[in-house]
Amino acid sequence: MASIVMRTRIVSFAMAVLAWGCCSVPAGKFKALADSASQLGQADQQAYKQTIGVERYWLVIAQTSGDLKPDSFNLEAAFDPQNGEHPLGDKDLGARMEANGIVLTVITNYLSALASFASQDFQTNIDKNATKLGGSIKSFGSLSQPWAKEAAQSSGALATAIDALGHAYIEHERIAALSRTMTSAQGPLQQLANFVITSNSVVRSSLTQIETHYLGDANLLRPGAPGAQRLAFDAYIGQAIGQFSDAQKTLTGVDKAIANLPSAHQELAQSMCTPNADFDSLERLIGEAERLSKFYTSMK
Amino acid sequence: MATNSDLEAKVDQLQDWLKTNWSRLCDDDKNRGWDALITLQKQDLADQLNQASLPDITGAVKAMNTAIDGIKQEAQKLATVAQVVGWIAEAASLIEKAITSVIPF
Repeated sequence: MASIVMRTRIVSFAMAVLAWGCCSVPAGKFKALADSASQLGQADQQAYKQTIGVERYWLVIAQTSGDLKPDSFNLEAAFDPQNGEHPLGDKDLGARMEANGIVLTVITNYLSALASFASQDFQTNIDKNATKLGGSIKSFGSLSQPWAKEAAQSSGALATAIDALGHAYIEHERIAALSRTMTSAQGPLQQLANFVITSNSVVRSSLTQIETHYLGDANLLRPGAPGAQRLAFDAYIGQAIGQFSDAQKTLTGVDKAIANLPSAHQELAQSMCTPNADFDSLERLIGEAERLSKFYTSMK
Repeated sequence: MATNSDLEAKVDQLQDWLKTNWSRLCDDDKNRGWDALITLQKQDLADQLNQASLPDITGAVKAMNTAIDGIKQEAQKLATVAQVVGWIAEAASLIEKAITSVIPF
């Protein structure tokens, strides 16, 4: 009886080795995917700063008559007033950007955990990255908005998938665990990418509305006669409009890059057992993330 | 009750008049007009206004209609620019009052 059990185990092991025998883990590409997600996170932070800058310009021009007060230029008071006033702009703008920051951190930590597992010395980093992933999900606690709930659930699904990776010591076990994890994470990852794109679209449309009002107001205030006063005014407005344009460009870039992230993830999962696999989405993602990163550096 | 698009059209009409006639306004009228303009540009104004209490909505809509009639009268030289600014400022003030009384969800 014992020998039958032993034989069955040997056969199962041999079948698994055969099934995954021609497979390999492209560890470098896993790292490249995680690095691109991290670059997107930085670009998103830049978009956040640019949006705050835009709101500040809007707040300056939208001052009404009467004396200035200490909180006349307080963004929080203007966009999310606590008592007796209607917000100047979308009060969810900041929350949307914050949620996107959390989602991109979750994605980066998930991909970093995968990259650790895919590397030869995975044992040292996997626990650290899994813990970081768990920590980033807790950040959703600060968002009470109903639209953030689905993103929190999808993020939780990524953490569950990483927890299920376990500790594999043999190459074929590692490939099987990666493949299983990536398959179960594919849906939640797509939902998170969609969430970022939707939030960015809300932010972009709000920025467009603010820009329209801003330019309309600026035209009313613009000195009529050519001269030093008009030059100074135009220079100031030019800076503001430049900020609007930079924020829009960054948000569009993040959208373009993140749209490729789920398919890059899928390509990577399928590539482990596919000789000469295509990495079109991964390449597009890396290209766009690097372009954004350079754009961000040039504005620092 | 007025629909959101009706209210938006009225708000836009008041804003447009202020912008188009800005150069005709004296300094005092520019002050009142500017404050009204900033209120009229606030986020989701029509949507928020429709969530206010019925008396608040009725008061704000009546004031907007008065201002719009005033615009027509001014075009026929039956009202002054200063009067129109006053009506728009009154409408903006009632809108602000109505939307800030909306209880947030």
